Amino acid sequence: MPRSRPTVHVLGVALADAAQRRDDVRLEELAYRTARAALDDAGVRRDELDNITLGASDELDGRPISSMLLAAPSGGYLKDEIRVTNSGATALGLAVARHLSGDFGLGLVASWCKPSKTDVPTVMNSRWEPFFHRDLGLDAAVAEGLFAQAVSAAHDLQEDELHQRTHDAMRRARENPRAVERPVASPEEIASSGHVSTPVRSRHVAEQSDGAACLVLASDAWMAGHPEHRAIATIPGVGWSTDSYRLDRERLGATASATAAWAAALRMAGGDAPVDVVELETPTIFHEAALTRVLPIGVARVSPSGGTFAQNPLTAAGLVGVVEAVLQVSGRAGPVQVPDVRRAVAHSSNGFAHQGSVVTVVDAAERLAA
Amino acid sequence: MSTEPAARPVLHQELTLSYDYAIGEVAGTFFDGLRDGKILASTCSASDLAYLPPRAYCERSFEPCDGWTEAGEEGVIEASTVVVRGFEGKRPTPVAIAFVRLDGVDSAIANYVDGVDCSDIDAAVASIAPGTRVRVAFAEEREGRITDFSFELLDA
Repeated sequence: MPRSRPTVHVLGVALADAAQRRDDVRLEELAYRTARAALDDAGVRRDELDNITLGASDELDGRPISSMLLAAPSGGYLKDEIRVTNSGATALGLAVARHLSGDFGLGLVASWCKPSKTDVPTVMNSRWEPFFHRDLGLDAAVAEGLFAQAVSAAHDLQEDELHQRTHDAMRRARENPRAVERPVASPEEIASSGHVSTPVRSRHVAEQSDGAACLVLASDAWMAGHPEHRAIATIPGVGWSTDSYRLDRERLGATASATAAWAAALRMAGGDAPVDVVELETPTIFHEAALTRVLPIGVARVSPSGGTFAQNPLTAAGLVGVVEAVLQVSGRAGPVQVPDVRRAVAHSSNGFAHQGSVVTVVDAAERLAA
Repeated sequence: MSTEPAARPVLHQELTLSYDYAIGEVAGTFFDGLRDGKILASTCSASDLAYLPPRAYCERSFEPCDGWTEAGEEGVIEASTVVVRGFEGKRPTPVAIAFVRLDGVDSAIANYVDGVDCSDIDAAVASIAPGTRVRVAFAEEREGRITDFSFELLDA
């Protein structure tokens, strides 16, 4: 596919070893090891970087302005560093924009999260605005229940499909060496699991885990000046969108931010190349069932990594999905590799009840020369 | 497959912060209305929309909301859930919560639904299905907070 527009190149990636709870490392160690692994994978040194972009949550990190402590272990010492208090996928979108600006050549984008360290429902309750919602005690589980009810009605979702989808996601995760090791529940076990917030059952929920993800990005100009380096993938398009904060039926059932972000990302990427793989960030299986209906994914394989059922480090989950997409297009996904993947798309959701979405298009590096 | 690494001790700390959130003009008017037994929605003359919870501005026209209207005492459930686990709320679970579009208003406001027998989850879910009509029930003693009212099923 001839390319006439600038793109962003991926030189290397890394994921932290995912686990339900990483009490063996403090956050600083988790960030450092993942950043260092990504630089090693890219074959570049920290002093070659000219920018760092971080995506993290202070409340979940347990430290206000967490990046002041964690910028350095992410490679940010005396570098141009910025951070978003949002999903790691949002940080990636910002990093892509920085590299396309022409002002930056080689950068690292990093995201981490250790939800095991705190009381996540209380953190989620604090994220509601204080006057009309927080005082009722609403949290993420309530929002997911409302979302699940709305998309079930919008798409006539049946319980059998949801139980089977959950089982299939767990089975794919089981094959992924980068996933948290968990047993695969049968559809019957999933069906008999108790409700969290109707209609969501406990087994429909992607369990949280501790994790981190990093990518090393380069601009066209940097690649031209460093012919000794080869990209493992390119990012020709990113898109993001934020829907209303309101949670009425129209907003809940529309998943409008996902379709808007998808359209923006694919428009930016250009061309009409088919999508071979999509990695979806799905806090519950209802998200997967809805997104596979509203996004024009065609015959693409859905979350071969197991997606958030493989690992779900909340703030960093979207960037984990981008790394899994890069591994797919570079033929390095291991046991969950899908044959001949040339374009993968990673979707990330943020906010309550899928308020916001980020979509990242990842192409195989050889597309540049095709 | 990743395996659980060896655990090390954790340093447990609790951080306690308190905040004074300025209620402001719009929420202040709404909470004053609750004390008087009224649910007030802000309105936008440019779009002809009425907002609950009240907004200072209109999402559609991006003009300031420039009026108030009293919402109906009844409305229709837009979205609902029976919360069973993991709830940090004011009430013990299981508890029914719904976003309700009150009559005369264009958006939905959340609150508990009283009078729902949650001992049978399936029946409880059916009783608060979207489309169900509910009425507003005010607390006898009101303090100008969202918990000054709740919803009741019309046939309760």
